[in-house]
Amino acid sequence: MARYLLRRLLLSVPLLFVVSILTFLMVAIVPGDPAVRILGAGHTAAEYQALDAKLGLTAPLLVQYWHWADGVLHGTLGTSLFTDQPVTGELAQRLPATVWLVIGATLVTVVAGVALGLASAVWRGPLGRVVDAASWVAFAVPNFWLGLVLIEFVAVRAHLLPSSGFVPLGQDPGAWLRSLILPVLTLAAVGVTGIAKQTRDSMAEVLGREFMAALRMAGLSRRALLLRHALRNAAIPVVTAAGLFAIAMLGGTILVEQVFVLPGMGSLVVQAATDHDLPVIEGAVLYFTVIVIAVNLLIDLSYAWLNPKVRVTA
Amino acid sequence: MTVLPPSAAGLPAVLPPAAGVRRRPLLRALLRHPLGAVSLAVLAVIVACCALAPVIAPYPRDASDFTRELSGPSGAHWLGTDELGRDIATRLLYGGQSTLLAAALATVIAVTVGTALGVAGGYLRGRTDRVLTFWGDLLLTVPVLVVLIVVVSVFPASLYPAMLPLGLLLSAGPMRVIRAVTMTIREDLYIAAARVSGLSHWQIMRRHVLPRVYGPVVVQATLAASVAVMLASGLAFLGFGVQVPAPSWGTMVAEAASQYQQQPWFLVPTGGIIALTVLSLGLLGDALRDAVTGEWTGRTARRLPARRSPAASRRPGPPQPQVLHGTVPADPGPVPLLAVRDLRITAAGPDGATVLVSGLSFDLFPGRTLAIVGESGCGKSVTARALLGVAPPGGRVEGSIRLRSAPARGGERPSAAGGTEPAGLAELAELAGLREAQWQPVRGRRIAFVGQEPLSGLDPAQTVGAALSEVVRAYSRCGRKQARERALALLRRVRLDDPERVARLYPHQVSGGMAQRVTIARALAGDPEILVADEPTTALDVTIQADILALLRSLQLTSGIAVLIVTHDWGVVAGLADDVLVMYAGQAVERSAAEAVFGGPRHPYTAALLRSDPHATAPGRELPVIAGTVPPPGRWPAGCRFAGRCGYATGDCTAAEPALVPAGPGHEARCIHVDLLAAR
Repeated sequence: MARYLLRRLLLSVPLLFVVSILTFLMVAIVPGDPAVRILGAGHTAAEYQALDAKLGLTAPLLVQYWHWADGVLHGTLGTSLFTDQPVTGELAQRLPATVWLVIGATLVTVVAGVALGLASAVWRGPLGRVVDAASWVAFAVPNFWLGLVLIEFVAVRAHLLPSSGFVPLGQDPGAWLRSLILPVLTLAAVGVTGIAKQTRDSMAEVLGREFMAALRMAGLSRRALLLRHALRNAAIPVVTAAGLFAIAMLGGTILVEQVFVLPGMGSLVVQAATDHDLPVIEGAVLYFTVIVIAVNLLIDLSYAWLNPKVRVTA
Repeated sequence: MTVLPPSAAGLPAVLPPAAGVRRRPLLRALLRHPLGAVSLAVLAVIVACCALAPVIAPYPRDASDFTRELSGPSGAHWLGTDELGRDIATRLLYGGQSTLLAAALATVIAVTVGTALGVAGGYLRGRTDRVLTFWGDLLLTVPVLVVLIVVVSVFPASLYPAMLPLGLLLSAGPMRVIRAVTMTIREDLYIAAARVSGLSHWQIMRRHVLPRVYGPVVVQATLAASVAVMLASGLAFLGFGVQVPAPSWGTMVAEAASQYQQQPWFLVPTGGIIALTVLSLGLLGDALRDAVTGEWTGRTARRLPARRSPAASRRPGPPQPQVLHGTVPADPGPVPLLAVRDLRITAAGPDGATVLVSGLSFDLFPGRTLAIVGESGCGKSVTARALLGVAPPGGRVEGSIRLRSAPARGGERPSAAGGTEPAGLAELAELAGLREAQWQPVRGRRIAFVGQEPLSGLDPAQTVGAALSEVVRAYSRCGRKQARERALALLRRVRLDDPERVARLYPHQVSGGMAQRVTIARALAGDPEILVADEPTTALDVTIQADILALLRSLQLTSGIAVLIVTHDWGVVAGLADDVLVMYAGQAVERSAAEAVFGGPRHPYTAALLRSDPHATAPGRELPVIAGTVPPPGRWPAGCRFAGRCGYATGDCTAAEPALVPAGPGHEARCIHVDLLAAR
């Protein structure tokens, strides 16, 4: 089991490497020049060269990457080209909003999605069609647009919840929760119905398997059949889908944070991308990738828990 | 399960399907699917209007009308105006150009790369496949929008450069699907034939594999396109890849967002066009998938209403004129444990209900074994399952299944001699028509089931011990520890060595023979009076078969359980059965004591089955088979259903359906020539 997880962890190292070096190359080949942006119009060539050297942008690309990667291994991510603040500090400030957003949206997605999917697998008929229709709508509506509509109706007209901003958990748990509800719902919309559909289809497949008929003929209760046997065997594709949704939602935070003005990693990436602030982009992408790896590990863990074959052969 | 294998099924697959034939049926199947046809039409309209924007747009792209800023829909401006008084409809048409073009670019890249890599991986397998699969998994874990924003920040002037990485990232989905499809195609005979004939891998992939993955590729293209439209709009919404006066759908949502307090309407058309496009693409993909799978499995449009056409439901002709109701045992002595009368089982067919079994009657006596014998497709297995209240998908079980009232628990078991009570059939409890919850106390506790494929009868996620403890607790409400001990005792009872070890194993870790012992142990857990065994040895090795049969025999001797065994193996009948029921095309054709059947079958089908028994044929001699196959349910011929394959058939045989007629003491056969066979 430990070896299995270790192997999965080692497999994710190339991901970190590939993503970071690609990001580095892409941003570094930019026509836009950070030094020019910082200095603005009307600077002298000497000023420019001084700043360029100070920012370490004169060194060859590979050397720049080496410096950066060396820093990562020593726990620093450099300083922002614009604010002169350490990147780790900026990211630490921005991390909570994004992480809570993703955790919240994943929880809502999985709990509501599985419940809906289970219900429509068992009762079929109209509920199944409602889930189908709802998943199409949720699939088609852009989340940034859904967020705006929720703000308009829930926050602006009904004054039920705040329309923007994020309150840290330590500061005021109630306000924290209220500040997260709308963004989480916005982000989760696609996932809930997607997971519901996946759950229903997967349940339908398992319910048709021979062992379910055998257990039914052994006289087990409907409840035991559905919850203990069918759901557990149907869970693997659902978990896979949940993991993919979680990763997609990680990207989706960028849009949702923009709509709800949340100080998260997504809005940081957007700002840094506009500014060509390479260290911040690199740092943020690194964090995103680490979160992705963590999500994947969680999925692998649940595979092992759900499927004895994985556990034993590992 | 087949005694007589159906005609060589692989034959037609040797010929490669002509490449061109595939396209038109897909479009036609799509058009039969209303939602798919509508989606295709909506998409075509959207794309055409955006492409023709300079011609059909009511206003110039950037023309402002400062007298009407942020107006709602009106005659002059159907979809209203934006904050600069520009016509929203016009700008949506122009905005669609960049959005759709960008999405199309990403889609083409995603599908081309995905198909190429998917075909290569699925066809070549080996290391290429492993590397490609790893690469695909890697792509799936990249947060797409983050990468896109990085790229867009590099080339801020346009969306198009970002579409290359988007296309590459999206190629993981098509690649996965196409790889899976290719892997199944690769196994087809004609691919092997092409390889033998000396075509190179490249030629085979291009000429034989590629044309066949066309359907799934189209499906994947629509899905990739829907994601691409969404992401291209998202990027524009964030302000990336756009230049100011030029409109794009995402930018317009952003503009609407900044104005929604003055004019909420602005949000409706801007978000609506994105939603409509994505929805159409998604629904189109879904409809295409239906059309494609329908094509593959030979089904026609999946969502045809399952209505009963009068002609079709008349065809099977189930009601038989003269079935001898309830006259089965010629020996009127003991009262049966289970009495089945006039059983009729249907399943959902392509044209309404199809009759699988009709007019079936038999009795099962305490401590005795009844074998139901016949070829595959005669309705034996559905009959076995019907006795436990399980109907085929979409089907029904009608008629009468009566079970002797439950004995007091721990009290006297019905002995092999049976018949101490002078009860008639009326004293038996009717099971047919019980609701699902009412079946529960019968299943496992009174009638238990052992299936054909022992491994697929066990929950793969549960250890053997947990599976047994679970049923023990379901039957007798005892503690966990007690249940565990009882489970171990059951494993010992089915003669498994080292039950403690076996109890810790998962189904995939045990052999077929062990698994069958486990399912028998599970069947014994409820201390049932009847064991229904559906071909319990068919899937096992010959030596294991003998072990399992010996086990069943000894269990029956020690517990007096009545056994109903479904089989096509005369060896099983000879070794286990007291009584025999031969089924053909959904009905009983012969019924008697086992010795009588072996001594002198009275129905031509039984005689033919006995002749084709491999045990009875001398080694080296050709095994006689029955020419032809069992007619499938719904296509049973009029008159005697076996007449078409019968050597004794005469014109009278097809005139009317024969009834079961007496053929000796306790012996009945459904044949008008019953005396002819007796004479031989």
